[in-house]
Amino acid sequence: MVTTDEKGPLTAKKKSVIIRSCDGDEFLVSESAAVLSTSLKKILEEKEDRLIHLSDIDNKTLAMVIAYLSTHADDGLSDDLKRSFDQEFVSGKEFDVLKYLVLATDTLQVTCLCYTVAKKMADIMKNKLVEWVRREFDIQNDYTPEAEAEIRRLDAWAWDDRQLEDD
Amino acid sequence: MNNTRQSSGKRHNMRSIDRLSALPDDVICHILSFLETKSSVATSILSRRWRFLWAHVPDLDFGNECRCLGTSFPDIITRVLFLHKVQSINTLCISDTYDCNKHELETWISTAVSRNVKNLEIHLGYKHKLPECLFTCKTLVYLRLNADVGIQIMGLVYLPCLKKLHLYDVQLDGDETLPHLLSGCPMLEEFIIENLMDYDMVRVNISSPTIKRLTVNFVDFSYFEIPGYRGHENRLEINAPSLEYLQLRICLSDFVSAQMLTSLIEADIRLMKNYGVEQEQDYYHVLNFLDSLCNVKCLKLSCAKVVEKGLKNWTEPFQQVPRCLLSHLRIITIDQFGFAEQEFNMVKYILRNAKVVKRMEIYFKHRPMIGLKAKFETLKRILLFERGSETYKLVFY
Repeated sequence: MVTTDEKGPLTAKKKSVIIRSCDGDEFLVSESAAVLSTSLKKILEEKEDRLIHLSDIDNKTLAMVIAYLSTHADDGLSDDLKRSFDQEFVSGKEFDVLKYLVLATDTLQVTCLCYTVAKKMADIMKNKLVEWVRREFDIQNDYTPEAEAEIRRLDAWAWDDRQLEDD
Repeated sequence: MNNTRQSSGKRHNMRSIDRLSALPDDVICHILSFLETKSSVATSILSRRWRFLWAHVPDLDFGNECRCLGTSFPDIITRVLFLHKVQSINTLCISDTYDCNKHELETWISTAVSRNVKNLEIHLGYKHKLPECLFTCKTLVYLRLNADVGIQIMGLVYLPCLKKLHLYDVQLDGDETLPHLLSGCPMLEEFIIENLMDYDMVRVNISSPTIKRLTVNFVDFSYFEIPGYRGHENRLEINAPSLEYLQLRICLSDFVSAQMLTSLIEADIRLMKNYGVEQEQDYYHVLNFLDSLCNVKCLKLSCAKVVEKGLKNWTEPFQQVPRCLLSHLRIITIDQFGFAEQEFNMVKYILRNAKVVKRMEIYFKHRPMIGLKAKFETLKRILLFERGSETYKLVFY
């Protein structure tokens, strides 16, 4: 009875998949939510068993992505509600958290969330000082002082006001 | 591009150390694509890896913030386009071109076209002519032109992917320019034309089998009191059988004719009054046009400008009641309601004849100044009007 059910189009929606994070924890997700991620959809089309191991996404990030996918798979919610959920979702999150989210959504190909997160990161970056961006992106400045001066000279227009100005 | 995605179990354990250096170049470019080009170029100072990351960002936005004392604005655009490495430009937005010469503008547009530009927004300045290649761009999906000068299109127009066309403040050279342009856009879905300028009469002839959303806003001269000036005479003809949404700002005395608006379900009509036109029969075309909105379910009307400018009486039309009012209108919005007697009469007329209306929304003029008492009085008065529909909701804003 189970085997016939699994192939029926009506029950297909209710099927679940288990997603394991790189920390080893497992999350039960409805298939309708999982397939909103293009990568997960591809994996599910290719393999039989319902366990997916994501070796590069941690617990905390995965839980957030799954909350997003489940909300967007809920047919009972209007598009307006989903849009306001998206705004809530990224607001107040630390830059560091957003970095893991943008990477996870890029890997999982959740285009819409990736867009929202990347946009939020850009909004935060606006008008920030060079040192802030270097710190948050963990960038080592490997320019020689002469090289840096040369770049500043070549594109002086890009630094003529507060934006990314040195402190 | 140099891809530095790292294996991630490791990243988790080293979370505090590893951080965003693990972001691949394409993700960083995605983030940078939301910044104006100036800020995106400024990231080249961060480190050697970031030196030319900005050159792989598919969106270029040259706003006025790119203007600075040292380098000329056109030189900045030319330099960025020269260093830019992307084969398919997603968006090119140039805020103002008043200080660039003809050759520069042509070069930028040609470059964008040859790099498969999808979205192009240009504010044209003084004496510019658009290069012909723009009008045969095979990749263009969205085109927005702001222009204080005439647009001339001599050659072939073929924009097979164009879905959205927005024209603001333009002057079209000759009556044939617009039909010529639209006939070359077989996929067009949204067309906005606003503040079309001309010296005496503005003619707009819109004919397209594919347009779904249309906005035509003629210049509103009620802001300017020019002695002796009678305003423009506008002439609008629409033939768009797929049209679903229409926004119009027209004068009561304008000539307007529309054919086959059978798909139209939402309309937003803002009426203005021309100076010097007093006779009642001058409104014939507009009234007739309103009657042709036969299947509209949501109608937003804004007549405040007409009332303000001295339309003394509102008498019920002699003609038969418009078809949409009787059988289709579900939501009616009256914008800029100003408590004038003729406005109450209009509301009365609508409510009596709207047989299936579910919701009437009234937006007051000078909203913050309207007290609760005035709203309550209005509500009391309107609720006493005879109603054609058994139940409807009345909402005030």
